[in-house]
Amino acid sequence: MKKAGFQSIFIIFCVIGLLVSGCSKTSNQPAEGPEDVVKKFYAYIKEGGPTTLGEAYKLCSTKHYVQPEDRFRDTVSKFSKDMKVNVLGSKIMKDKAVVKIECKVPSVFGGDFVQESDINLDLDEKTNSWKIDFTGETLTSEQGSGVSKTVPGDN
Amino acid sequence: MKVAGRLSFVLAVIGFFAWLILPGVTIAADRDWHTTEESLNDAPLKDTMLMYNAGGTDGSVAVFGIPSMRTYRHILVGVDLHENVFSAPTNEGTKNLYPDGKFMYVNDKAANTIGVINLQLGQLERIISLPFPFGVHHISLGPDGKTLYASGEYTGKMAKIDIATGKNQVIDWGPAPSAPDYLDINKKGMGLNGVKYPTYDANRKQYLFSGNYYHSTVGVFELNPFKLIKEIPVGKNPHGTDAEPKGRYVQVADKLSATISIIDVATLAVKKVLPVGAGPLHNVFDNKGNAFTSCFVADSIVKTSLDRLETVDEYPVHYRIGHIAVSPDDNLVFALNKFSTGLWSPTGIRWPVNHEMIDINEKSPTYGKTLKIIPVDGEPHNAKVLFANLIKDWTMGQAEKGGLLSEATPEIRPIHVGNSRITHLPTDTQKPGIVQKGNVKEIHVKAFSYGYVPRQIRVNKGDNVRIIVTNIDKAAGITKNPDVIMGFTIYGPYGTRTMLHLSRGVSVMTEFVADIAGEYEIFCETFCGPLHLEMRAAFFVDGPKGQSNLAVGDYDEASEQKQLGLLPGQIEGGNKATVKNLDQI
Repeated sequence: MKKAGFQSIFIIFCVIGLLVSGCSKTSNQPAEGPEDVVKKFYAYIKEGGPTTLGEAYKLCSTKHYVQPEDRFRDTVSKFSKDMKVNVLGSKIMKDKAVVKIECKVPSVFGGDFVQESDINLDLDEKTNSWKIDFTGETLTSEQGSGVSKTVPGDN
Repeated sequence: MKVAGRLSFVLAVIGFFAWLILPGVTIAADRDWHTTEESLNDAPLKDTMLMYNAGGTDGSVAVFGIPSMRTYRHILVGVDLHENVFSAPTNEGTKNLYPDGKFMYVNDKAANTIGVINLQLGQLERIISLPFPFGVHHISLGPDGKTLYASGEYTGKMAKIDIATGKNQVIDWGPAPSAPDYLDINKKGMGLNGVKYPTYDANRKQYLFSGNYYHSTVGVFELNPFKLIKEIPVGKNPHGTDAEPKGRYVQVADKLSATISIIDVATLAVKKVLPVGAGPLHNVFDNKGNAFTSCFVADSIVKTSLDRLETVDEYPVHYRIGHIAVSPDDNLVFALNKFSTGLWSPTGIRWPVNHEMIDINEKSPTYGKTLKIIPVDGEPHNAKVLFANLIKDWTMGQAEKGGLLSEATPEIRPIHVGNSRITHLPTDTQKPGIVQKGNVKEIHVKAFSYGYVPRQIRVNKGDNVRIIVTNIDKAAGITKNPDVIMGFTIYGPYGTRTMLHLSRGVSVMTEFVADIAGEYEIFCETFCGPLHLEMRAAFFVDGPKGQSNLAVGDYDEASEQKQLGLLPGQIEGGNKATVKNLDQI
């Protein structure tokens, strides 16, 4: 009887523990994943227009640097209208995320030029949402912003 | 009741007159200082002086009215303009010289040319191609008014150019690395209106002085025969090297030493070193024995008395002054500021830069004060000012009578960067280096304060080249100016196809065929900080003759400047005009 009582209490605690951990996990996870944020960002930029670019600006992280909005608008409006951006994958590391994108633009040599890039995102605790590090403040040397060995061409 | 009625009438009359007067007062208060000046008639205002400013990356010369500081017009010349020099019978006078009002010469750093502007027509009339390899930085007028001297920053060479024919003589200034920079020729001491200074010496020997930021020296060159005779050690990384009008001294801005070195022309040695503000860059002079030195990091202009050999005053500027100019009436200096943080509305990914006019007339109640500050186009470099009456009026019938033209005068309109195709991309996170992708050689470059990785780029002649450049500076660099724009230009035949302005947050791509072999220096064309000038890399195009270097390349072809889209006969000089000794012409 005593053993059955302990078992019941143990099971009840386990159930409560699972429920609590499940609930807290759900509440800490931003509703929109980093890939969705990046997709939305480039969709806004492609659409253009003052309101839409303002929405794109809101998706930028302010954790490391606050770029003036006018400057941001001017910069992204320089992107080619023919540019196509596809999300290839992502990786989440606690409050950081990296989204790999593929960007295609027409080349003067024919066909498309295809570029693969990493987009870093910060988790904004206040809004519990992913924000894009647009100016690359958190890009690491592994992501190409530092010195590395030159890859020889075929010549 | 009757009294109340009269009072109401009086009040109504007062109110009516107040209504008439007050709005006028308000509007007048809102006017700028220029239009509120009392005038006896409604005639359009005329400026007494004109400033001509080499506009840097906008490829044109801007003309401003002084003292209104209003933009009059732009004269399209080329790609990246740095130093402008008025034509004059001699090199006497301040940095403005005593111009004859006929021509202005302006060097194009990206194209490696000198444009000749007809000042009376206000248009580009000739282009002189400089020899290749060279990499011109600045030019200076010779004492005879018929010769220009040029520094070859990217090759360690110096050139002497006959203006009339475009013939040139080139000499080496070794050992490498050697970067000749700003240059000037000392004066005999002729003052305004032909009045000689007490220091005038008709027999004073004249030399060409040029700073060299890799040697940290000033080179002294004899003019005839043209040869290096001496190097004078000065402070670290000398920049502006300028001769004062009284003929005694050459003043050098020691950029990284925060000093000016004053060279005595008689002894060809440094006479005195004076501390100034941090980051001294350029010097101008008035006719009263004073020098004014721009100090980039200190945000100031330092005034030095060359009679007493001591600094005497300092004026604040807004902000990050680069070049500096002086009015020919000695009353104004102009701070040509590189950054305008917080001053203007944004105009794109590049911040507006500004010109700031400062009163230097010690008898004026506004002495030392900023009188006017205006945003300007491009990334301006040097500016020179002349009295406006030197430019004749074409609107009073002269044109019909034959006017100022005695013969056909061509107007040249070179291609600026119209044939280039520049693409903005999301930030490129590929490793810096060169990769072969199909039939394209793809080069990923990272730009930062102050350099590029890779430092050397080597391709083969005929390669399809794709260059993707990324500004990897983090916020708030050494200048504490956020979001500094970096530049990427390959001088010479690739100048019109590069000139990338690199904002943070994006990468910029250009694609072209590497069709002319040789070694061409890469430079930052957008001012990014104190060591902007030293931000360099090299682009090598190897041809059938083997690995390119300063001796191996298609330099004769490069000097033909085909990329400027000129018609046959529209360009002079170049390698075919190089002679061994220009004095024998």
